[in-house]
Amino acid sequence: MQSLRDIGSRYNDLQDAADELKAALRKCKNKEERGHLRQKLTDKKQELRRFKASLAGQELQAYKDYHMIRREIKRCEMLKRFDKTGSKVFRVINPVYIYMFPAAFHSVFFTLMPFIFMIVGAFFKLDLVDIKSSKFVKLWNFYMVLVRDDEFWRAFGNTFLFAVLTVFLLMVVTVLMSSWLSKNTKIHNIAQTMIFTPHISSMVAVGILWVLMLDPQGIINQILAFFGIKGPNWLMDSRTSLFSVALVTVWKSIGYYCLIIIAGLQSLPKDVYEAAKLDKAGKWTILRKITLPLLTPTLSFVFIMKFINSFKSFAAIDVMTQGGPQGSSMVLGYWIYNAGRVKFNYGFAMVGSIVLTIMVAACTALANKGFKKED
Amino acid sequence: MEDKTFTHLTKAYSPKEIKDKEHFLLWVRIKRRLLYCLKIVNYLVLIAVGLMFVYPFTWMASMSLRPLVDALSFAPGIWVADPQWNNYLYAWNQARISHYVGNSVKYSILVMGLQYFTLIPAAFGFATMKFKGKKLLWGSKLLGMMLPAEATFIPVYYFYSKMGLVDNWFGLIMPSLVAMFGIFMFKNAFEAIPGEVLEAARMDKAKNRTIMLKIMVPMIAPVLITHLITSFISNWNEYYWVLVMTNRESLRTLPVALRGLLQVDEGVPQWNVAMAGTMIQLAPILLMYIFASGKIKTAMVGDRKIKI
Repeated sequence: MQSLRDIGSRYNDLQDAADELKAALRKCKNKEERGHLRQKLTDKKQELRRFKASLAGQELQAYKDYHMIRREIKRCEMLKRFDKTGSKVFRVINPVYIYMFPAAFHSVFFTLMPFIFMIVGAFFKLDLVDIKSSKFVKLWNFYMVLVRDDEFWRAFGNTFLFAVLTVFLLMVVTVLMSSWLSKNTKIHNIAQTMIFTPHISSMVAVGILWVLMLDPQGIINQILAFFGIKGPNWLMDSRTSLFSVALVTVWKSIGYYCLIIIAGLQSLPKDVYEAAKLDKAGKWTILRKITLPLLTPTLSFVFIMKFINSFKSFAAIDVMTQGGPQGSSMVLGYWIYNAGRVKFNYGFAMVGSIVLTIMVAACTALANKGFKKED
Repeated sequence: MEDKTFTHLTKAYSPKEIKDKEHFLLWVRIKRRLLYCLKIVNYLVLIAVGLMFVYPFTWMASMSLRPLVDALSFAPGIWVADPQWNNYLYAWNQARISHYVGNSVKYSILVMGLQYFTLIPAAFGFATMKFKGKKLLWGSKLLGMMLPAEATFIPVYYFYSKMGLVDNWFGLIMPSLVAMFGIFMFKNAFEAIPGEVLEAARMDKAKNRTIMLKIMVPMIAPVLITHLITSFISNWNEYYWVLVMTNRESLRTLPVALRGLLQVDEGVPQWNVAMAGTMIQLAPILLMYIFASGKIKTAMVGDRKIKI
């Protein structure tokens, strides 16, 4: 019977020898010697295994403990080494640059470089397959798009019309609905949940669904026929196509904006309403004179964001009308996609992109200015 | 004297007054009933309006189970006499929806798994650390949020094609990994943590990565869950980017494939199959929504309130 300490020292000796052999093996280049060393290493491992097999009960437990301790020590040593190199690196570089690297890369690769490419590319007849063969054409692209292309101006006007339509419809519907829905009963909650459903489903699914609903024989026209109205061919008629798409996007996002406004409503100060009740103000007066003015900052922020975002509505148009009959529902985003990815007129697409960017930037700047004044 | 006071007390109401009082009470009762009726009507209208938003999805489910002849009649009813589960099988196998479902799952899981390695350090840096070029970087991130993807996709496509990243999983998920929305969200959450926590940790000479991973991230766990939900929904529904950056079918995700189901060379598309595919696309999110509607609603709406 050996003492437990003896087991520890014997284990450590064997393990040290094995580690030394391993290190030697790593350094050694000579093939013959390597084989020799490897043989020795396997011998040592065998010995260790035999040693372990010879132990039992408390001794085996001691062996295992020593094993754990050794592993822990090794781990700590490794961490120390890691920390040393780490601090050496971080003494030179601020670690924040490592944290920021993906964000910065993203910024350069997806924002700044495309931005420059877009502006420069607008002056070239671009050939993306062989970029060197693209020709410098001065303002020809701008001339072709801004002067000669009627469809572009139509798309430009449609973009604004679409944004105004969606925002106007949304504003009217959501303000009325949210003041109606803003209560905490179970039924109100269920109704809110139901109204929110389209927002989380994808635009493609909603688009496909509404292509069916707005079919000349679809549900909407069946309902209209029930009241004796002959419904138009919603999506295939150049007079109604843009309006229909706007209607669908509004339908999809009513729930979302309702909930935002309800959240705003419920955070309004209660005492104002109590004072109004004491003065026996009617519901309509309260809505007009108290709620709307208090809610204006929220509302304006939300709807300006919506206005800007609706410049970017691509999926709805793509699924439902593909730019519509005779370009009646063509918006700028879709026009760019068409020019670049379908017709391969990259220069034209660049001009369109510049116009779209200017539109978005101008609206954002205006919005920011407005908000700063309010503060 | 005594008599007078007595009569004064007993003759509280004259007959006319009693009649008036009864009228009044009756009126109150009627009014209460009316209000109760109105309340019920209000509830009914509420549910009806709610149904306006749910009914199309139910109808879609019913369409997906009809035989093609019935589907083309666009009947508004929901009940299907003999459900054709074959439509789903057809969509799953012949229309290769299974392949696209796999791609969608892969895309969302890749983005959801990898984005936190880049989002959280960036947000942490923006929220708590000082470094050169912070304002510049933040400005360029804001510019990136303003610059619509519709305007920049051609240059990005060109860079991708030069780097061999078109039709490549890494290229596909790359822009979503550092989405500005997430940085915003986590930055706000980090800034909401009281500064004393950070100071105490710095006093104890904790390293930045320790502060970030061991102290700050556990403190913003609710925000993480919120972000997980929103990012799953938005990635599962992602359309534009996948459409623009892929040429081959092998990488396209479910929404793009659904769009393809509508494009047929001649005649009408097989609406019942298209509906089945769409149902498959909607199913995970709708199921999630049925079981955790409150969580999802607050996740999608609640945190944007901070910015407003």
